[in-house]
Formats: sequence, C-alpha cells, structure tokens
Amino acid sequence: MDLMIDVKKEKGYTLISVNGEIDLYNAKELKDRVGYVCDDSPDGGDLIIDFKDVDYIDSTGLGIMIGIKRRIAESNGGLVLVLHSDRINKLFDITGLKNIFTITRSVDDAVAALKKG
Amino acid sequence: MSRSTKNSLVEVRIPKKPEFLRVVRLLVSGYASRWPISIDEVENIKVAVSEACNTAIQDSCEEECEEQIAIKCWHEGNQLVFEIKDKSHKGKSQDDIGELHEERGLGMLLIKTLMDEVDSKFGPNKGAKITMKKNLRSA
Repeated sequence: MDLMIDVKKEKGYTLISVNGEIDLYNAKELKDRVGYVCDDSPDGGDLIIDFKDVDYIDSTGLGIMIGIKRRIAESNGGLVLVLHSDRINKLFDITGLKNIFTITRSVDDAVAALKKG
Repeated sequence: MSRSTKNSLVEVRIPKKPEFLRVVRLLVSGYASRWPISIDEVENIKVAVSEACNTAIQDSCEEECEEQIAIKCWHEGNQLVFEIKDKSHKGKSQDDIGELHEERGLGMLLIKTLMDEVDSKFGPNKGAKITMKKNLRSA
C-alpha cells in the first residue's frame, strides 16, 4: 500500500493522518511533509500524527519520528502519536521509543493529552 | 546442505534499491506462512528480514547502483532460516552501523529482538551476511 499523508489544520493543533507502509523507500516523504508543517508554525504549534492505517513501519520510519520529536521540542511544540495497531505499538515498545513519545490509541485522547501538556 | 534444506530452499535476488523492500516482505511472509507458525511470528520475520535488507541498501547504494542482495529462505530442523547476503558491502562493522545512523542501530535491535538466533558478519571486502533463525511451533 502506498503511503498517503493527509494534513488538517484544526483549532490549536495540526493533525497529520498517515496510511500505508513506512519504510526506507518512502520515509523521507513523511519527513518532508511534517517538515513543511513545522515550517508553517515556527513558533511551536502542536502536532498529532495519527498512524490510522499504518500496517508497517521500519527503523527508518522510527528514526524519522525521533527527528520530528526533536524538531517539535526545539520549537516548544507538543507532539502526540496515535498508534492504533498492536504491531506498531510493539515496535515502539521494543525500541524503547514508547518512553520518549506521548502515545495514545485515539485522536480524542491525543487532543486531551496535548491540553494536559 | 541437507536434503530437507534443499527441498525447502527459496532464493531471490533483488536490486539494491529501497523500492524492492516490499517485494522482500511479500516473499518472506508468503514463505513463512507455509510453516506452522503464528501470524505474529510471520510479522516478526517480515520486519527482521526487511531490516537486514535495509542495512545492505543503506550501506553504499547510490541511485544508479546495479548491485544486488541475495535473500535465501529454508527450513532446517525445527527452524526457518533467512539469509541476507550483500557481496558488495563496503565493510562497515556492526558497531559502525549502529553509530552511523540512529535508525541503523534501531534496525539491528529489531532484528535481534524479533528473531530467535541472529548471526551477522561484516568485513572489509568480504561483504555482509546476516543469518536469522526462527523456531517453529512444536507439533
């Protein structure tokens, strides 16, 4: 499945929905799209990345998420990942990334997590 | 190579390019599903083999690269074996790979966690070979 990225500006945050497989072939596409969103909100906008129908992510994709996390932190923004699949959750768990990201199971929970700070 | 190994051997070569990683994942999940193994374990194998190919592709390949990676899968005793061989590997050691880029370190971590046995050999002018084994469910 090709990677599909949808960006929506909501009140107080930007929601990026991702569908498909994230691997070495297309991970840069995700990095670039998120990069544009960050460029648009240099003063620290909050971001939710919803891995809606992501059924595969490799270490390149995980590495890019770390880069995004750093970039958002530098601009004092908040970042929440919405991981629906147990499989993807497992990969974040194995690599220890669960400890550095705020992860929720739904977009509503992610919005609540951003409000909480 | 034993007779049962020969009878189960599948070997594929892919161009050393990231657009062929999905082909590898399809091959590996199809092959593994043929044996008594859970869907979850098939997914683990898919991730590990794809990560091993990532390591080879990230090693050196430029856009015009004409090199190939060889992927072998076979059944041996109570295990499935997956071998990823990159003859043109530039000789970066396993440690170098972890240090070069964060994601390469993550890749090796995933391989080691998701498979039951892993053996990796990297050497200057020797190429790279990663052999991974997954135990099958006992009958």
